[in-house]
Amino acid sequence: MSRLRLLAPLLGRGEDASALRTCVATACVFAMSLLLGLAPIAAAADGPTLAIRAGRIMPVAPGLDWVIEDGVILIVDGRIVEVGPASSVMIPADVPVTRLPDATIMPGLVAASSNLVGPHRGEPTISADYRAIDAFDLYDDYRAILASGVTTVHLSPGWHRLVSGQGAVVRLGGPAGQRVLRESSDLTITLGESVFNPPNLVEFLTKPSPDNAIQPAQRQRPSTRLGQFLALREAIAAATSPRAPGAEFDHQSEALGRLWSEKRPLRVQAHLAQDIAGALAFLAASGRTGYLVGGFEAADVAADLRAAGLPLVYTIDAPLRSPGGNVGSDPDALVPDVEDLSVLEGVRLALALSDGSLGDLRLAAATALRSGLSEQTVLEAITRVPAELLGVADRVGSLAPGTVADLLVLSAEPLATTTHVQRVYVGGRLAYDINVRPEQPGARPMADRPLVVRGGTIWRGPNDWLSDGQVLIEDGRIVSVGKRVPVPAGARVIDAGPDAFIAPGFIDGFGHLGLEGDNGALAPNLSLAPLYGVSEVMDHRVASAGVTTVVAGPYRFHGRGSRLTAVKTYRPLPRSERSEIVRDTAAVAFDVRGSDPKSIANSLKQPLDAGKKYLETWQKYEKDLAEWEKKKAEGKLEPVEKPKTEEVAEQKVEEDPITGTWTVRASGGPIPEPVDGKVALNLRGTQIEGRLIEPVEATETNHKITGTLSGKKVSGTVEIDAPVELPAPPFWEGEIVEPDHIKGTAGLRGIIQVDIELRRVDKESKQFSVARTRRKTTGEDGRPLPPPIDENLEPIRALLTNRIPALVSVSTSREIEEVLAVLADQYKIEHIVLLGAEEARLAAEKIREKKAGVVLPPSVLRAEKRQPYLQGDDLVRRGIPVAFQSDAEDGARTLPSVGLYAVNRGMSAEDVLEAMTIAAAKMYRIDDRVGSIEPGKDGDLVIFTGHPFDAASRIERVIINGEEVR
Amino acid sequence: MKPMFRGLYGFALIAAGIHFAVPQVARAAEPPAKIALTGARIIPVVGEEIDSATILIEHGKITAVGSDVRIPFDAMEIDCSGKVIMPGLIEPQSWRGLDVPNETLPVAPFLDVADAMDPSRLYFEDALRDGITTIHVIQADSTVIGGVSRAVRPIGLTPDEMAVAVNLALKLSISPRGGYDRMQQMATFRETFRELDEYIETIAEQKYEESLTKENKKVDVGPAEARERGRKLLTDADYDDKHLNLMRLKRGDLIAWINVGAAMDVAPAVKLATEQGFIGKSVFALGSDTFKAIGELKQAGRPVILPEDLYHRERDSVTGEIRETFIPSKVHEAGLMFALQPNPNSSMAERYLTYQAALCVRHGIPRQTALEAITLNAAKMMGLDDRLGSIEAGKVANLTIYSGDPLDFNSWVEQVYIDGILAYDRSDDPRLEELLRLEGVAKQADEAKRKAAEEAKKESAPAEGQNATPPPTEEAKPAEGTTPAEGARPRRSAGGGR
Repeated sequence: MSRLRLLAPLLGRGEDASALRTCVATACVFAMSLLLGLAPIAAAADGPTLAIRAGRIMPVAPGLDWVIEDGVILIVDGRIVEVGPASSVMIPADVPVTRLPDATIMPGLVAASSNLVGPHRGEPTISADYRAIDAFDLYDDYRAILASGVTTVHLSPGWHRLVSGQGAVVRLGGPAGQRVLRESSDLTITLGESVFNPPNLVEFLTKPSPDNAIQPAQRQRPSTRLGQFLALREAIAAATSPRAPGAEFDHQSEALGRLWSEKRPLRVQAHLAQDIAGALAFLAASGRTGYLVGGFEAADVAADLRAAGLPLVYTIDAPLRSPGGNVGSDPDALVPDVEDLSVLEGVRLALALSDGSLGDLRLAAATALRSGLSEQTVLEAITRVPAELLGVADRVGSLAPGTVADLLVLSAEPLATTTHVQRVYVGGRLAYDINVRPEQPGARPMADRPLVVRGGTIWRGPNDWLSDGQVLIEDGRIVSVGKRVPVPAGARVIDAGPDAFIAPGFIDGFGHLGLEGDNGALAPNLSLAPLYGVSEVMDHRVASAGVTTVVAGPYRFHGRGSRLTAVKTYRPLPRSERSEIVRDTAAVAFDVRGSDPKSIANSLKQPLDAGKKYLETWQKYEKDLAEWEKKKAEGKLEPVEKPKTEEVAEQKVEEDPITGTWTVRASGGPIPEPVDGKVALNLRGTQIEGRLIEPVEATETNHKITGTLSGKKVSGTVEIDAPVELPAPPFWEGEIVEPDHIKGTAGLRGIIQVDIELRRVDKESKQFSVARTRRKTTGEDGRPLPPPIDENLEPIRALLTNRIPALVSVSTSREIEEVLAVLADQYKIEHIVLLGAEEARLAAEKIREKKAGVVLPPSVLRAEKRQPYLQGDDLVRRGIPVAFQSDAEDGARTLPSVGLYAVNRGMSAEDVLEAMTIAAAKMYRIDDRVGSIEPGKDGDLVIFTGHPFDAASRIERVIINGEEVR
Repeated sequence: MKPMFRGLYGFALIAAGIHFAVPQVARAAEPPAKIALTGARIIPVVGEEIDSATILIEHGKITAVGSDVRIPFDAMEIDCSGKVIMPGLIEPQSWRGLDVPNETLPVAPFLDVADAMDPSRLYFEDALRDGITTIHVIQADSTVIGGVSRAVRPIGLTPDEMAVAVNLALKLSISPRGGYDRMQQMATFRETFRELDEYIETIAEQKYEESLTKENKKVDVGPAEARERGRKLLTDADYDDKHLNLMRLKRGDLIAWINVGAAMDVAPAVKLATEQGFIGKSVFALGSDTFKAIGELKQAGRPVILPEDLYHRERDSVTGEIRETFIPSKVHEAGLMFALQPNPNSSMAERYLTYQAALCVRHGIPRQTALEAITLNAAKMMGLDDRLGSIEAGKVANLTIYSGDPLDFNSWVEQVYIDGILAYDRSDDPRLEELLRLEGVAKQADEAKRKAAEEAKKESAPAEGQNATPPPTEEAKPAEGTTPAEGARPRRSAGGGR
C-alpha cells in the first residue's frame, strides 16, 4: 500500500503528475545526452577526472555567466563537462573534488603572438615553407611560462620576411602528444620596415663548370613600402600560375602557391597606419580573410578595421621589467599609441605583447584597461578571442563544456595588479603549482605561505577603522596593514568582501581553558603552559567563536600566588612553541576576596617579602656583574685569590655557658608529640656555632646552627637544606634559665613556632668541620654567578620588576583600596588587575590613580539596589580599562555573545570591542603579541560579516597565527 | 708468425702492389691458411658461452666453433687457455677517421667519406688496441644530408684497403646543423626531396625524348605520360651524383643514418622517413634527451644508436633538482635494438666499448643484450650481420682475445684478429709499452721476464737435447705471468668507478 502511494505520482495519479512526468523525462534526456556527450570524450582524451570547486569562476564562454560565485567545474578525462554554481552542478560520488574557496578560476591565457620559436634564419623573402612547428620542442618544460598563466601559444615563424612562413598553435603543458593544436594555422605576411631589404640570395653550386656557372648573388624585394605589395602580388601570381617550361623549380614559391590556393588564413603583421591600410586594401582585393597583428597605430584606422570586420591582435608595448629604451628625436619612431584604445571596442580584439614575451601577458593586458577597454573586452582578448582567431576555440580559450581543462587558479581578480597565478591545470592535470618551491635553504615550507586578508573594514585598534584595507600575514605575524599591502607571489588571498569587518582575535580576560574541572590551587612554581598540546575539540569551539587568546588560570589561587598563562586557542600541527603560548606567566594571581581587610596586607606581604629578598639577591648579582664587567672593560680586574681557610684559634673559655652537647626537645605548635634531638654548640666570644647531631637523619643534612649570646639570652638561626627555599631561615631564641638549661622557641617566623628546651649533657667542645659546601658565588674568572633560580619566586620577581601584572580577586571597595595600598604604594607594583571588583565604582578614583584595570565579573549585568547595573559601561565612563572574562573552560566560546549583550544593555560597541581586545592585552602586557591589527603582532583575525556586535553579524572565518581555524 | 701489423702491411704493399679496384676491397696479404685458437672461453654473442673451446679459422673465415672441433693437422694451433674470445667489437658510427667531420654544404649527398679518410690517424690504432675490428665511418651531425659512409677495419694503408663495405649509409640530421635553425633544417629537407621529384620528372621526360630521338620519332604523348614512360627507362647513369644517392636512399640501397639529437626530432624524423619511403631502412642515432620521445621511437621500431654519454642529466626548471636518467635502460625497456658507442671525449673509462656495456649490465640490462650492443647489433644496423658481429661458422674471423672477461675491467685486449690476420698483439705494442714504461710497469715486466727466462734455463738444462723450442707466442707470456699491480695500470683503471 505504502509503496503504491510512493509510486502514485510517478504513475500519473497525483495532482501534479504531469509536471513530474515532464521532470522525469527531462532528467532522462539530460542523463542520456550527458552519457552520449561523454562517450566520445572518454575515448578521445586521456586525462584525469576531477571536480574543482572554487570561490569564483570566470568561464569567459558565451552562454555562461560572466562570474559564477561558488562554482564547480566538472572535468572528465581532461575535458570540461560542466560548469556552474555549486548548487546546480551534480558531482558524481567517485569524482575527487579540489576545493579552492578563495580562488578565482579562469581559462588558461592564449597568447596570439610569441617569440617562443623563430625567427627562422632562412633568407628568401618568400619563406612560405618555413613552419614554426618545426622549431617547437614538444618535450620541453614550460613551467616558467605556465606560471604566468599562458597555456596556449601561437608560434610565429618571424617578423622579418615578407612572407615569413607558417604559424602554429600549441599548448605548453600536458603530454607531448597532446600539445600541438594546429601544425599550420596561418600564412604569415609581414608589412613594414622590418621586411625591407632582405639579404641577397646566393646559390651553392655543387659542381661549378662552364655550363654551370656561378651566378651573382640575387637581389630580393621589397625595399620600399610600395615594393612590398608589388613583391607580394608578384610572388602570389608566380606561385599560383603554372611554371613556365624551363623555369627553375622554386620550392618556396610552390609552397606559397599551395597555401594560397588552400585559402589558409592570412596573418598580417603590421604596425603603421599606412601598412594597416595597405593590408586592408590587399585583403579586400585578394578576397582573403585573416587577422591583423601588431597595430601600434591601429587606433588611427579603427573605423576602417571595423568596417572591414578585420580582427586585430593588438600588441602592447609594455616595458614592464625594466625601463624601455630611448626613442630619441626621430619623429617617425615606432611608438605605440595607447592613448585611447576604446576606439577599438567594435573591433574583434586580442591582446599580446609586442616583443612576443609571454611572462607578463596578464599584467600587460590589465594595463589596457587604462586605455579605455572594458574588463570584459580585455579578458576576452587574452582568452576566447585569440583562441577563435587561431582556430582553436573549440578546445581552449574558455571554460565552455567540451573544451580541454586548461585553466588557471588565481589568488584574486584576474586583472588585479596583485593577483598571482597559483596553479595551472592543463588537460585537467596540475601542470604548475606555485607552492612547489625550490628546495633551497631558507625556503618557506608550504604551511607558512603568506596570507593576505582583504575586507571592507579593518579594526586596527580603538577608533581606528580602516576602510577597504588589507592585512599581510607572514610566518604567523602581521607584516603590513594598510589600504594596499604587498602581495607576495604564492600568497593566499582571502577576500572577505566590502561588508566584512575584520577585528583582532578576542581575548578572554580570565578563564580556565583546559583545566577540565580540576579546581586545585596552583602552586606558584607551576605554569599551565605544558597543559596546552595540539588543540582539542574544546579549544576548537572557543577558537571558532573568535576568542583567540585565553588568559588561563586555576580555579583557586595559591596563598603564595598562582601563575596565569596566556594561550592561543588554536594549536594545529606542526607545533610552534612561540605561537601557541602568548605568555607562559602572564600574571601572578592572588585572592583576597572575603578576607578580613586588615589581614590582606599580611597575607600579601609574605610572598612579596620573600620575592623581594629573592629579587635583592638578583639585583646584587646584577650590580656585581655590572661592576665586574666595568672593571673588566677597564682592565682593572684583580686576580682571583684562592679563598683562604680561616684559622681560628681555639680559645677555651672558662665558665663557658654554651659549649658542649645539649639535648633538645621540641614541642607545641604543629608538632603532635615532643621530638628529641641533640645539638653540639661552641661559643667563640659571643658567637655561637654548632650543629644538630641527632636525630641521625637530620644530622646527615648538616643543619648548622648559628647564634649570639647576649647576657643570658641566646638567639640565632638554623640553616636548613630545605627542599624548598624558605622565605627566611628558621630562627631559634631562648634564655638560659639556669646553667645548662635553655628554654625558648624556634620555628619559621610567622608560619610555625615550637617550644624548645635544651639541657647540657656534656661540656666538652665537639670539634666539627662544617661540611656544607657553599654555593660558588664567583666563576673561574671572578665573574659573579647568578643566584639559583627559584621557580616559586620567579613570578613575584617579575611582578616586582613590573614585567607582569598582579591579578587580585577582589570584591569590596575596602578590599580594593587595601590591595592597591599594599601593592602599589608599599611594593611599587605598577600593573594591577582587579578580578571581579564588584565595588570598583566606589574605589574608582583610587583605581584610576593606580592605573589598575578591571576584569569584569562574568555576568555583565547585575542588579544593584534593585536597579540594573552595567559595571563595564560605568567603569569605562569613569576612565578605568575593563576586560571581559568567561571564568569558564570552553565556555569562553560565548564571550562574544556576552559582548553583544553588553552593547544591547547600553555599553558602546567600540568600548566592548576594545575591552575584548587591546584593553585586555594591555592589562596583561601581552599587547606586543595580540590585541590589535598592527604590524609585528600575531596574525589573529576574526572576519565578521558586519560589525561584531551587530545582531546580524556572524563570524565568517577565524585566523590564528596566520592559519585559518578549520 | 708474430708480425707487427704495420710491418706486415708495409711489406705486403711492396710485394703485392696495389690495385685500386673499387669497390673490390684490396686484399694486401693472404692470412694463414688455417688457424686453430684452442682452450679459450668463447663468447660467441650468438648462443651460449663455451668453456675451453676451439675456433677454427680457414682463409680468414670461421669454419668451426666448439669444444669438440677436430683440428686439422696442417692448422697452426695457438693455445689460448685462460683467455676469453669475443667477436671483434664494432663501433657503430664515427667520423674520427675523417679529416673534418662535415663539409660546409648543407645538402651534399654526393660526398663519400672515402675521400676524406686518413688511414694514418692514430684513432685507428687506438681502436685496434681497444678491441674494435669494424668502424662505421660516417660524417658528423652538422649537416642536413651528408655523404655516403663506409664500414672499415682499422688496418690498411688506404681507405679502399680498409673497406669492409662501401656505399653503406647516407647521413641525415634532423637536429639543425651549425648556423641553421630547425625551421630551416626541415624546410631544407622538404625542398631537397621535392626538388628530387622535380628532377626525376625532368630527366625522365628528357630520357623518353632521347629514346624516341634515337629511333627518329617524335614525342607522341603528353608530358605526364612521357615522364611515366621515361621513368622506366632511367638507369643510375642518368642521375647526377647528388640525385643518385638520394634516389638510392629512397630505393633502400642506402641506409638512412638519421641523427635525432633531441626528443623533438623524433616525430619529424619518422615523418620524413615514412613520407620518403626509407623508414624501413633507417637507423636513429640518438642525442642525450631523445629518450624522452621513447613512445614514438618504440612505435617506429627502428634500431637506435645511443649517445656517447649514457647518462642524461637535467636540472628541474623550478625546483633546481638534478635528475639523472640512464638512457640504455629506457631504450631496453621499450624493446628497441640498440648499439653503444665509445665516448672518446671522456678521459674516463667511457672511451671503452666494454665499459659502456658493463655500465649497462650494472644498471640491470642483461649481459647478453649489453654484449650484442657492442657487436652484433651494429652489424645488423649496417646489414653486415651475415659477416660480422658474432663467432659463428661462416662469419669473418674478426676476433678480440681478452685476458679475462671482457666486461671485467681488469682484462686486457691481448690479441685482435681481423679476417684471420693477427692485427694486434699487446706484447708487441710499442706505444702501449712506452706508455707503460713511463708508468714503470714495463720495467717490472722486464724484470719478471728476465727471472722467468733464467728459471726456464735452469729447468731446461737437464733435458738438453729435447725439443725445447718455445712456441711463437711464448715470449709474450712472461709479461702476462706477472700481471702488473692494478694501481699501475694507468689508462684502464683510471675511470673505473663512477
